[in-house]
Amino acid sequence: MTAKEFDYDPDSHLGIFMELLGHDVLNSNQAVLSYLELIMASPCMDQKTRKYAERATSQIRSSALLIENCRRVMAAKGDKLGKLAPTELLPSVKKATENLRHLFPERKIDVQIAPKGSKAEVFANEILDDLVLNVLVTAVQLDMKDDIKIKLDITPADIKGKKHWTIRAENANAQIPPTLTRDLWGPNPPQDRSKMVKMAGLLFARMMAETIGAHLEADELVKGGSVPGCVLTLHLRRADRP
Amino acid sequence: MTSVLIVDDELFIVELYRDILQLRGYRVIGTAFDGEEAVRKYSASNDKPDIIIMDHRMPVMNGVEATKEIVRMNPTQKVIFVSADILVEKEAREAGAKEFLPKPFRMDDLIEKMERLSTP
Repeated sequence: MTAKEFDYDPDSHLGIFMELLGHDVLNSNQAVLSYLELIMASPCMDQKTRKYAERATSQIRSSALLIENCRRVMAAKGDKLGKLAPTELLPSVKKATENLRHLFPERKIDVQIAPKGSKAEVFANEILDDLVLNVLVTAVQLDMKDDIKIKLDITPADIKGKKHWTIRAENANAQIPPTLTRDLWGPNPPQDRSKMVKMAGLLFARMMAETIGAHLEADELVKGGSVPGCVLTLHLRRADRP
Repeated sequence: MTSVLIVDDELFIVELYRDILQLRGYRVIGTAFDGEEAVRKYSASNDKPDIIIMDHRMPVMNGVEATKEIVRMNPTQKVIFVSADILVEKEAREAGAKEFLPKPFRMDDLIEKMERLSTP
């Protein structure tokens, strides 16, 4: 039986469905997270149990991020976000770095940001925070180790004659699947999706970037795939004068 | 002791907030399961809460509408808006909410905002 036989238009209901689903899932996530917090605050908690609780927290936060990403991209595509305006990039980077530690409480994350404290204005709206966060989350998720080191460079760049601010996130331990560098950036979605792994965050980031005229690239640190390391590069349209 | 009114349509969320806030030393003086009940209880109460924790998506009357009503009755009322809908922040602030927290949040973040609002 098809959807039409039910007199049901899936396209027009998709937005409502996503909204309701998102709301209910996030409500459940809220409860689980808070109970985990209560468990972790218990004085009789041993190290091993704490680690399990931290891992559960991380997974719940990741699922919440996926829902939020869906809703943010849908809002952007539906023209429900603010107009592009000059926006300071560094507060978004700082916020994303802090959120990263809440998302992965069980991992030791060191984000080295250069330059520190300088001004970098880009054309963006409220999606910028989510975009930067998704780039950093991907740099963490591609790394299997507990100690994560991300080198973040923010530099001015000229691309095709236009001024940009470029964020370059480098993780020398991350393993980037070939699907991320090959299929994700092609004009058409790949037919064989069975090997599409660890791509959701980057795919969302790419869609978010497009809505504000930015551009995202993912690459191996050393071409050839024999050694670990990945580089995620985000080019944002520059709003301040050089 | 800072007093709180909790407004959320999910019983498990209301109970959770109540347990945690009481553990942290707050006085929960009431709960409501939709915006209309919150407005009715607020209006009838002689003991107004210092802080209201307000959800958005609720039956009968949503959080933005309830916040508007309550702030109209008392423009100094402090409302912390908590919602799984991140896109409602602007509306919530325009309705009079002093703070906004997207769900899911850490209880420490809620407590931090409550402490900030409790400080004269």
